[in-house]
Formats: sequence, structure tokens, C-alpha cells
Amino acid sequence: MIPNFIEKAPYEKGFTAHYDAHIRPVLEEVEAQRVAAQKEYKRRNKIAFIVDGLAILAFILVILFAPEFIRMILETDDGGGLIIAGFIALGAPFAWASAPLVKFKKGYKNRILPVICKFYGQLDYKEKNGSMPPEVLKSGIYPSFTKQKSEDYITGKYKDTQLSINELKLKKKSGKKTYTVFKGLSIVIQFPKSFNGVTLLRRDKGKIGNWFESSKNMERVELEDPKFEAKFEVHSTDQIEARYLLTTAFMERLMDLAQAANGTEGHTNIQAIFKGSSLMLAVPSKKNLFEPESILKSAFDLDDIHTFLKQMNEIFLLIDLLKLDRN
Amino acid sequence: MEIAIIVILGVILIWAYSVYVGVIRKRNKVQEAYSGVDVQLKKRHDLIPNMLTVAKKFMKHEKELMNEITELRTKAVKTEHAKDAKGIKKALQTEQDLSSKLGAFMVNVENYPQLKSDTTMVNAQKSLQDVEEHIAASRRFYNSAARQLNDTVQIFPMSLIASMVKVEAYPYFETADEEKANPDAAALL
Repeated sequence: MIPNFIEKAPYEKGFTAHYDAHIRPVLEEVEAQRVAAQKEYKRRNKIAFIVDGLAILAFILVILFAPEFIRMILETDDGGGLIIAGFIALGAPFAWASAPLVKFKKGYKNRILPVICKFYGQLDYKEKNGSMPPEVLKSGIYPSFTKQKSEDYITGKYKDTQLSINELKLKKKSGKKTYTVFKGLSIVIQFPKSFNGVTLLRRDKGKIGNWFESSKNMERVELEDPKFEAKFEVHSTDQIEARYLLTTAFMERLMDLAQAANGTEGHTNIQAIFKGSSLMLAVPSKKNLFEPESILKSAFDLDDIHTFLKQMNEIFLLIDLLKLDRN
Repeated sequence: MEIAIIVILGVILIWAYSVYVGVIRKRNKVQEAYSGVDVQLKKRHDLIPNMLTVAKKFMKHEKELMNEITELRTKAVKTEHAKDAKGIKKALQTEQDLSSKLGAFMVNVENYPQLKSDTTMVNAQKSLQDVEEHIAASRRFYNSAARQLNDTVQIFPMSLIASMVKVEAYPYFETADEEKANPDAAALL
């Protein structure tokens, strides 16, 4: 049975009517797709186990009864690599098995998220939107990287303020290995007018870490609140503007946003820069945002929708606080 | 022995010079910070005459308050561009008094619905609110710079060097007492 949406927080006010009109009609279909995807995944998973089991058995039999074959492979130039590639290839059947899950998750996002975004009037959702602009990635709030992947774009206006939000993953190659250096949300908010200076807010990394990352032409800004001073390191080309922007209320909002993105209390890892006419935020998160938490969870469980509304609310509160809707 | 004395004297001289440089830099920073405060205070002073001109049409019973504000504004304008600790102390005291009276004025505006909805007054109040927020931000910067200077000037042995070069502690820019006190909700109702 399709559940009713119960408004649990003030920011969800009015969503019930929107849910009844636009989301409820598609939920039954989405749930049917989820069940079918889960069934197909289980079927493919069984096949993958059998295929891999047979492959491992064959490998063991070759080692026992034809070890010279293994020796011959190892003696070739790429022998070691071939053996390793063989083990990696064992993962291929499981990747094939997971394909229905990936397809369902994409389908869910493309069905449900655009409809939720419409609740806010002027926001649109797109799964892909090309590469991130370099001025955002090189703004100083992201680590250096060699590869980027972005998805789940929400763009549009909130109270006449242009904003864009998307999930971002940055990787860096070091020798033969590749590491994930950032995973989370990228948020860009456009102000109606430019800032006088540049103000950069980063995570405090201790005296030595901060010294290594100290910014040229920028002065350190001491935050009066010891709670924030312990967590963040702020530099700016304009001391007064930095204090005008980084009020206690704003800092609290930033930390609330970081917690909403991670779903855990105490998680306050967030970095921001005020530059030109933009506020850019990097909100790390281990979770895949804007996605159903698990294929095992029914589409009739509306927790994911509540979570999404909460995340959007935190961003809107930040905009309200900065009074971006004022000229 | 002689070499040891020369080395010790050298170390003391280097230390004294580095403290001297630090004191001068910190004092310059305080003055730079205060100039930022000064800019915002000037904006506030410039806003006051327009507001009072509009208010006079409606607030016929608040003449005394408006006259006090005018007098304090005139006094505050004279203390603009202060550089030394004494000048800044005097300027800050005047600004505190002016803030206090402006606060009382804003509360009284609420009792005059016609004035409250007057376009010029609404715009002036918005501008004043923005200026007050900038004053708060510049105050925080000034107080931070003053604290760093005062720590050096008041703590031995750096205080010796500071007194030799006649650098004194600077006053903090404090909020008016009315702003510090918790609002009494019963009095407002």
C-alpha cells in the first residue's frame, strides 16, 4: 500500500500536496521496478557465483594436474600480469550481476528527484551536466586531482538566488595507484554583487598542516569563537569583510549543512570560499547523496525523501542567512 | 669571557629589535583596523540626518531624543579619523553613547505606524542595519588587533620595549550596555 507523506518538519510544509499530486502516482511503478531489479540481481548473483566457482575450480585443477602450463605462463613477459588480470576478471560476473541495481538507482533518481525539485519552484535536476568548471575545481577548497566525476546536478533559483549543487568525486593517480581525494557535494551560490576580497575557510590541520597550506596574499583571520577557531582555518584579503560574512550564525549553518550531508552528529568537515560573486562549498560525504539508500529498502519507505528535503533545507537556510535575496 | 658577553648582548639586542618590530607592526595593524571601523562609523553618521529629517514630521513628541542624537552625531564627526589610543578611546565612548540613543530612537519609531511604513524611513533603516552589521564586523577585527597589541604592551618583558617607544594599550570597542543586556520581553509587550 502506498503510504501517505507525513510532514515531520516545518520545512516540509506543503510537500504532502506535492507528493500526492506528483510522486504517489509513480511510486507503485517504481516499487515494481525495484522488486524486479532485486529479483534479477539475485538471479544473476547466483550465476556469477557459479561461473566464478567453476573458474576457480578450473584454476585449481590446472595447478594440480598441469602445473607446467602455469609455469609457462609465468615465464612469459606478461605472465604475472596475466595471472593478476585473471583474478580481477573474477569480478566481472558480479559487475554484470549488479547491473540491474545500477539501472534501478539511475531510474529512481531520474523519476523521483526532478519531481521533488519542482516542489521548490525553480530547481531542475539532471543526472549528467558535463565536467565541472575549472574555476570551481581550482578555487582552493578541493585537493589536487587527476580525474573528476560529477553527477546529479540540481540547478536553478531559490528566492532569486542562482545555485547549483552536484555530487563530485575526485581521484588522484600516484604511481600505479589511484586514490579518491574528495567525495561529496559541490555547491555554488551566486551573489547579486561581487565581494571586495577573497575569503577562504578550510579545515584546521594543526599548526604545521596550516603552515604548509597557508595562502599567499591572504591574512589569517582569527575567529573569536574557540569552537570554530579549533575546527577551521580562515584566510582573507579583507579582514572586515571576512568577519562580516563569517558570523557565528553562518558558521553554525555551515556545520549543520555538513552534518545533514553526512547524516551524523559531529561531522563538520566542510570548506568554503567567497570569491568574485560566488560562494563555493565543498561538503565531503561518504554517502551517495540523492540516491536510494539500499535496493532492499522499499520505495514506499519515504526516509530518503525526508533526508533529501532536509539537505536542501540546510542549503536554503544558508542562503537566507547570507541574505542573498537582498539586492 | 669577553666573547660570551658580546654574544649575550648580541642576543639581547636581536630579541629587543624583534620585539620592537613586532610592537610597531601590531600598532600599525590596530590603526589599520580602526580606519576600517572609522569608514563604517562615518557611513552611520551620514545616514543620521536623513533619518531625523523624516522622523521629525511624525515624531513630534520625541524632540529631546532627536536633539540628543544630533548633538552626539556632531561630537562623533569631530572624533573621526582618530589615530592614537586616547583619540580612539574618546571616539569609541562617543559612538557607544550614539549607539545607545539610536537604539532608543529605533524602538520609538515602532510606535509611529505612518513613520514605520514611510519609504524613505524603510530604506534608511535597511541601510542602517547593513552599516551596523559592517560596524560589528570591523569592531571584531579592531578588537582582535587591539588584543594582540595589548598582550605585547602589557606583558613583561615586552612591555619594557613598548614603553621605551611610547606605544600604549588601545581601548576595546565594546557594545553599548543596552545591547549587552538581555531584552525584557514583558516590557516589549
